[in-house]
Amino acid sequence: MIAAPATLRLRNPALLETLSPFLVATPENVRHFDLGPFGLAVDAANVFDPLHTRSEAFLDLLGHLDVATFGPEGMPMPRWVFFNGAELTGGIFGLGCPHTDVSDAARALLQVPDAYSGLVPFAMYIALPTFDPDVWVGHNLASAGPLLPDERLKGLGGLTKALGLKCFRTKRQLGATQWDSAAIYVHSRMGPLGVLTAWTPGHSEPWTLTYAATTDDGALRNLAHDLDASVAHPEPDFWVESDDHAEQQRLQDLIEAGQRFELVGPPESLGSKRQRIPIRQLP
Amino acid sequence: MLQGYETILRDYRPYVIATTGLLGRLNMSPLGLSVAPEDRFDPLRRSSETLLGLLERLDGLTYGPLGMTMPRWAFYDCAELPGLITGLGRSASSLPPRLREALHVRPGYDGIVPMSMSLAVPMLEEHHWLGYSICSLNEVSPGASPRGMRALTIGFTLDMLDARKITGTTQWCSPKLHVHALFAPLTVLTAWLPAHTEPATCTFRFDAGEERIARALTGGIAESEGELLDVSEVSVLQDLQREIEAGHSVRIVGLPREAGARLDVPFVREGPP
Repeated sequence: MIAAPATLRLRNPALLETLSPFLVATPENVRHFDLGPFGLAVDAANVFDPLHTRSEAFLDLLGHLDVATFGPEGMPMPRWVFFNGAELTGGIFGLGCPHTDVSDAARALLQVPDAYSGLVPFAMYIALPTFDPDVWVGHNLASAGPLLPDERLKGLGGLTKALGLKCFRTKRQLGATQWDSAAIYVHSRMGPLGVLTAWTPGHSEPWTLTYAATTDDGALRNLAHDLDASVAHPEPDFWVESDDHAEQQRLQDLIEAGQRFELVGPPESLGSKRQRIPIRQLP
Repeated sequence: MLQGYETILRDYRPYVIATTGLLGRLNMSPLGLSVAPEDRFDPLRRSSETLLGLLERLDGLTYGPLGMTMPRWAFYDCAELPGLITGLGRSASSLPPRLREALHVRPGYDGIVPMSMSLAVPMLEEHHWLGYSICSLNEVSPGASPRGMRALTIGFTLDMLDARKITGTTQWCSPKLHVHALFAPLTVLTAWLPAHTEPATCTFRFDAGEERIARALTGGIAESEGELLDVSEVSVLQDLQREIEAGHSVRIVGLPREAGARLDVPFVREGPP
């Protein structure tokens, strides 16, 4: 079967010339998903059933991708969390490259066994359903792109997340990220994000913000770096610096008192791994 | 239905952690156990911090020896945001000092201290939930609370959720297998999972509902005829997994039975239709 062409016009078209989509989900979950997000068909051979032992080698590689991308931040995902927290309840959508086309640098980064044949995952997006069928929790976005700067992978994270959310048929996405995380660049491409928490004691790192994004096609296309897409970035009322924990806690107090805020654009770098994030207060 | 659980009902009370949207949809009197307003917590608010710390400690004590302690971020992403955490607890001041110390209860705190915990996450079908984990302090400190805490916790979690179908996982060697088997028959979805932290993991499913809960809490299932297989043998689990992958139906139809080093579980296996 010839895959339908994607309807996205990407700033980095090389991504869809070299990478193919994959999905990890139980057969009963697959039935709920869009297997042609934005016209990009997921080949049946690249749909992996986590309940089946033949998926083992591919799931191992996803574990390697997670360690390569989240391990340095101290938040690699235990295998049982992968299984319970993603594969059983929701799904893992991603983009990968046939093993024959994988560079030595990527093989080393992703610890691809010499004997492995098949798709090698370069990026993945994990999401879980909530009690509201339209709302999903984005659990993990991992991309090897920043770790393989010579492989024309710019924009891979945003594209993967956009395709994943489209595949899962979400209308709203919740997520948690740290104020100092570069991932806010990616998430803010979906347009203004409602800030549900600004200081989160329930998280390993309380300087975590919880956001809610609207995931309509316009937002997802912009997230994917579609040249024909754009989203509004309203003017901020103030900025929150990534290491200003007192301000984050003050903001949390205001949220708990009933005030509402939006994250309205990409962070600005302050150097030394610090950044500031634009915030707008809603009436 | 709750005859035999009097000591728990007398000294323990339920708590729940869920976002306000989900809290509004839950049955707050599951099995007739009322969840008091002060024992309902929103993970998006800072007032939940102490309880979440106590839950992290309970999880570490019970799952730590299995190598499956849940990172705090996973609690948040995988349970508190999409689903809920519930369980039974009692006031800190009513606990003996050794338990307050073991559970890292801060001096001066007199809120609820969780002694059992159940995490549930929604699946894609309405009324279908993943039983993410279940534990009780009794697992590592027998007598810390009355017997039956886990079964009752599962039972009222199902009623709180109005769950009709449950999927869950447990390690074959875990004592939790017994409490899940109270809800048998369980359809086995995996018997051997190389991609899991612990490959000897059983993924199971059962139809929930009032009748099933009542049966589980009132003495367990009637023992059904089944073929006894020793699930401590890896080769047995691998054979079962091959059968499942070939389309066979594999069901646990009764309680596990210890016999020396063996752990015999009654199964009914049927070929593909």
